[in-house]
Amino acid sequence: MRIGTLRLLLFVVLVSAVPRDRTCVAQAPPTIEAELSKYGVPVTQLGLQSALKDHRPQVRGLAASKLAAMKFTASVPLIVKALEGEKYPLVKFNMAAALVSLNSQVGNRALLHICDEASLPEGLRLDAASRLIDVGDYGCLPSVDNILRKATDPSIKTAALLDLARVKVIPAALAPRIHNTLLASLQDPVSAVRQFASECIATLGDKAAAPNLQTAIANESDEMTRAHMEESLRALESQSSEGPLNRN
Amino acid sequence: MGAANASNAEVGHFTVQAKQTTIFPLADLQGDPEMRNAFLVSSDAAPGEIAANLASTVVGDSEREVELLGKDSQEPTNAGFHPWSLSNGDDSTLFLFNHTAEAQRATVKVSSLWEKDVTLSPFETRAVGLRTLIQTGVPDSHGRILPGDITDGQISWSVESFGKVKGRLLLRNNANHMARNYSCAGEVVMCSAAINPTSASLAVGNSASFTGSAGSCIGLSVFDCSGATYGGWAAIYSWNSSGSSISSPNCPGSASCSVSAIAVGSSSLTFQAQSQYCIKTATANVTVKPPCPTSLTVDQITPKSLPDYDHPTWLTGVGILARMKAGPAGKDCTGAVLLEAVTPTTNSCPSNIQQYTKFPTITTANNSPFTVGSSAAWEGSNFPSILNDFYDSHKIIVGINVLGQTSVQSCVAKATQKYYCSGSLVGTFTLTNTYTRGTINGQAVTNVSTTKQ
Repeated sequence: MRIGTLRLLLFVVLVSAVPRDRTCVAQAPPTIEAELSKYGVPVTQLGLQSALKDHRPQVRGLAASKLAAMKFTASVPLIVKALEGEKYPLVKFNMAAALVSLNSQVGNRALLHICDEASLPEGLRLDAASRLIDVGDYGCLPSVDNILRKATDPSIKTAALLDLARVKVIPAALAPRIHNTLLASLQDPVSAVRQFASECIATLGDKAAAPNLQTAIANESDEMTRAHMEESLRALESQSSEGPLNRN
Repeated sequence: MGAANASNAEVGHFTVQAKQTTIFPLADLQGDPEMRNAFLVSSDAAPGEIAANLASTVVGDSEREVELLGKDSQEPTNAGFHPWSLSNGDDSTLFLFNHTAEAQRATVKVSSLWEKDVTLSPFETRAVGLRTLIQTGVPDSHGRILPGDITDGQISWSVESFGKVKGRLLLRNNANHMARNYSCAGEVVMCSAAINPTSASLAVGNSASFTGSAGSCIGLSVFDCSGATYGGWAAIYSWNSSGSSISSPNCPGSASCSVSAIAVGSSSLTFQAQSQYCIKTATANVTVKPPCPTSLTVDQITPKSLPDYDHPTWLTGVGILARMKAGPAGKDCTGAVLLEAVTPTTNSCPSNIQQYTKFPTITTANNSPFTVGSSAAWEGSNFPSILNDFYDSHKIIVGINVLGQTSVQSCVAKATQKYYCSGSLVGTFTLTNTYTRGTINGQAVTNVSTTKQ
């Protein structure tokens, strides 16, 4: 009996020593509809409203997102109630984003809370900011700027820069700070960050950054990044009016 | 088959008494050695009151008489057909007689092997000897000649107008002193319509041209709009469409028509060919696809760091979800389908972890398509459908801490990603995965940061 147990333990140790599988995904992610189908949720107003109370967190978030996609505004109170009782941050995010799509300010406030919450992952905070920017709510801009300044992960920085580039009006109080953040990003060690910083400067019409952009172009070692920077500079110089960064 | 100079001369005039048969001798006439003679018998009697036939006899030998029944010139046929033979000493000759004062165009076909158009002068009788055609290798209208060893088949003829030309097939055997005439009359009728191409797939804003044609058959009456396929037919053409995906065709009378794709969906285009007695249609299905974008930009990035949503205990990963914007602005590309190709370019990671860190090689033949306007569910977050946007997941996860297998603090792998729509390149990007050491709750991990530019 003891010998048998020893053999079993040896087997377990050998299995765990083999490197586990590798998954590399570079493709179209599943749609919300496909995920709901996978979970067996009927895509009807009643089915989705019922799914807001499903025991599976993912299903609750998917149901809220689909109700928003189908513009079922009558579902807003149900989603608000579900949001209030939700404890999982990702599900909260999905419900809040759904409410924003349905023009409920409850969703805006919830997303603002998420983007301001420093304890949450930066990616999720930026995503919350992005959803608000999509509807013209720029309440998360200070958080986006803070994340851009402090982040070391280049994917976080590029995400923040892309969020900033979609802003139509930068509040005057934030303009100098964001201008400085963009100038710093032009000197980032990662070429993608430098490229998106230059494109953000052009999109925001930050003409005061033109000299810095010219210097960055002169110093740029990556050919493709330099080409993008030069295109950004041309776009910036061809703008006749002030951009969002200087409009206030 | 060459044209002949036909002459038409009256050889006699006589009266046939009521309920009587009158024999009119033609002994003094000089016959054509190629038998290219025809007789027109006309009468002032009412239709059906007079019947005529022609008999060729050898004086004193009634067994060698050949008799030809007269054919009614008013009979509204325009075609004929009959089997022919050259075997066992037989000889076959087709005679076509244009009994009008205008030239007539006729088509002669030998099975499906040989086809030639001939023009018959007014009152001309044309003899088409099958043996001559084969032995001399007379080319048809397409340059084809009949095989030298062919000994039988079917011959047919047709004329564009009804009641203008009569035809007979003379089958004779000199050794047996035998000669027989056949004249199976018929009508070449329009019996089919075809459209080419039969289907098309277009992007909104593009157009496609279709060609219609009508086919003919030898039928038993002008109302018989079917039968064995004979050839083409110059019909009256018209075009119609159903569905709202394509523009209404405006090509009356034309054998070709062009339509434009105006909305995503399916429509059908119908070609109609109409003759005096027959109407035939052919339909092409047209699928209208959304227009392809001509440019792509990175619109938004959602980064994700460990732990992975689907594999929370795995120690290396993850990446980004890229929201891609299809351009140009103002062009609705919803529903357009894109394919990607990913080619690894560089990898600075130590060789023992390259199997984990390298980008996969993806070709357009082995990847899932991206549909512009689709929503996405990724790493627990849901992403709505946005006009002209689509989502592309770039993530890598490995069960083990891959940098823990090495002495390096970080390394970088790069790849080139290309997007294609309907075979055209619409965007090229550089993907960069940066692998760095990290810890989660005291557990050593490898973080993956992905950029796309």
